Amino acid sequence: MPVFCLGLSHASAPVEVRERVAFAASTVAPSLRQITSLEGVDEAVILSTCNRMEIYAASASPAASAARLDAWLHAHFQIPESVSFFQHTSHGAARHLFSVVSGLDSMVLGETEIFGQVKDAYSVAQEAGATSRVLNKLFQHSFRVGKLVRNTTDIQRGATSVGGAAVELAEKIFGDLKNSRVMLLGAGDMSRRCAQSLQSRGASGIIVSNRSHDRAVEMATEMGGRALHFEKWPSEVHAVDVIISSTAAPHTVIHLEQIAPAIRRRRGRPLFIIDIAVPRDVEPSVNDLEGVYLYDIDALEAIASESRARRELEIARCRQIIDEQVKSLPLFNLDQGAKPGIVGSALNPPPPSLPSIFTPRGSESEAKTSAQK
Amino acid sequence: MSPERLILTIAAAFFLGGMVHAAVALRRGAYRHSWTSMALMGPGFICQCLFLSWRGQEIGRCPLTNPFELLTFTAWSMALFYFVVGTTYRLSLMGVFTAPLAFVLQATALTKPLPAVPVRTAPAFWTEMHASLALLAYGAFALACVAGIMFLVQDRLLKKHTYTGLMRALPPVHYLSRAIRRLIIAGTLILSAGIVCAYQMKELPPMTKLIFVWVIWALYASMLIYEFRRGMSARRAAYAAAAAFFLPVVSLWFVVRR
Repeated sequence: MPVFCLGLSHASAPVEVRERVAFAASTVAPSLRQITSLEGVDEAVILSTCNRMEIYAASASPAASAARLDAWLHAHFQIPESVSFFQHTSHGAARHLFSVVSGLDSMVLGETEIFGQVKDAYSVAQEAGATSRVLNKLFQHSFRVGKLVRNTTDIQRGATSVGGAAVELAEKIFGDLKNSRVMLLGAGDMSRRCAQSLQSRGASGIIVSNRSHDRAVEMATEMGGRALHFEKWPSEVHAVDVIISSTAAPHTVIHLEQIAPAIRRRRGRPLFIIDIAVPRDVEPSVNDLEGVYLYDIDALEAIASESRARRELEIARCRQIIDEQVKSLPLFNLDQGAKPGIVGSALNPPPPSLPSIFTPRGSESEAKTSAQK
Repeated sequence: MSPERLILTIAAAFFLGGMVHAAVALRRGAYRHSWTSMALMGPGFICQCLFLSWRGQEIGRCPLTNPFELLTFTAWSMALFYFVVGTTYRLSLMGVFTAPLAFVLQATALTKPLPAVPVRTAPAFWTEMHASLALLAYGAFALACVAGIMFLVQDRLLKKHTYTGLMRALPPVHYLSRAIRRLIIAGTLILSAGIVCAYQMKELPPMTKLIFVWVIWALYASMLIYEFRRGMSARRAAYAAAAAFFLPVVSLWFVVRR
């Protein structure tokens, strides 16, 4: 039985459209029941995240079913006809699902969250009784492909954000972050996010120091740490492992003579200083101290962009793996029952050697029903 | 080729394999599977264990009677510490740096003649204890040297913001500095026990040899005292561990040459 996929994503629709075409978690199961009650639609899975809304369905007559589903979506979300959904059928739909699960279709290339989101979407559909033989096999196979792609390529290797780069570096300095203590100088949003990334890996003992003490107290409470008067921060340097500085000061606020005495008291334990302020907060010569590793925003961004570039280079390898997996889809024939010339001519995938779903990002519309943008 | 030589040639081949694997992986910037390194070091270590066990049974004492056995024993003690330290501190990449040293020592041993089984004499317990403990201590110092070099490389990469495959593959600097300290403590304690054994021997070892051992002990002990009393920076400790191993190498060369 053929499968088809219909939806939109960050690559094909702006956020103003995506936010209107999103299923709340509580509405997915009832919506699945409505979709599978449409004529010709036998099975369905709804994948609804902040970056995409896609419906995978199995139907003996995919073209007609896709048209019905398209109309149902427009009516359900009360969106104008100008909003269009991309469609993939048969092996094109499988190829698209595999690339979504592998993170190739994500806004942050290779990100891992989508894998869990697809798993959750499939579980919900299974519990709602909306899947059967065809989609069960397709999705279970997609999870194997996702793991294969991620394990055999570097598509998810390296941090792609400043916060992620800071965490990677902290782990290269301290290893386990469980006993690491963090001090925030300045209570900006970026330093908070950076600290939260470190906290997610086990860093504890957050100290927030800010010129406005009230703001420091507020952020410390939010992060489960404690506030410190700004003039007292040098007295705590010996006791922390990571300093994240992001004050709005027009000059440097961390100087060599403030850090050097603390280093002697640390007895060989390294100190990681992250300076994400512009203009910079930390005197560059601080990096010359033994056991001190100073990274500014440019250094962190360079690491993140290098990782992104490396992931881009891996796309070709991932495509090759996915193509091989699509070709070897066993046990059931995705095209079986399809009426050639109706769906196949307009929506079917291009030859395996040049699958359009893997054309560069932003050109996802293998077969759009109408121009989106 | 005698079975002893054959089994140690196999051991050397495994160490060489570990060295080549790590070098190729590091060159590609894709060193990830530390288990491969362990899998190559493991059979080499087992081959050495077999040889030392056979030889020990044959000669009725600890096999430390000639340069062939001394070098093999030293390479074995390095592999032993690699497994203890590497597993405990997740420093499996140490295999990258341990494998070449173990290979060189083992290959050098193979160039030496393996004397026929000597006439059995009553084993001199304290002599054997002294020799084996001293060689074990040298194994610990060798790995401290390896960890020191790794620390210096990682420290430089972190300082210069050179985020390469090598940096990703090397262990965290904090783990390395802890490993250096613990290896030096372990080596110094073992060498102390070896020196005590020397003074229990019926006949003291030659004075030059004894002085050499005392100098080595004093060097590492002074590093520890300085560390505990004044707090040595991790980088200085790494430099010291890397440089200090020169003395045990000279001592070993001196013994083997004889």
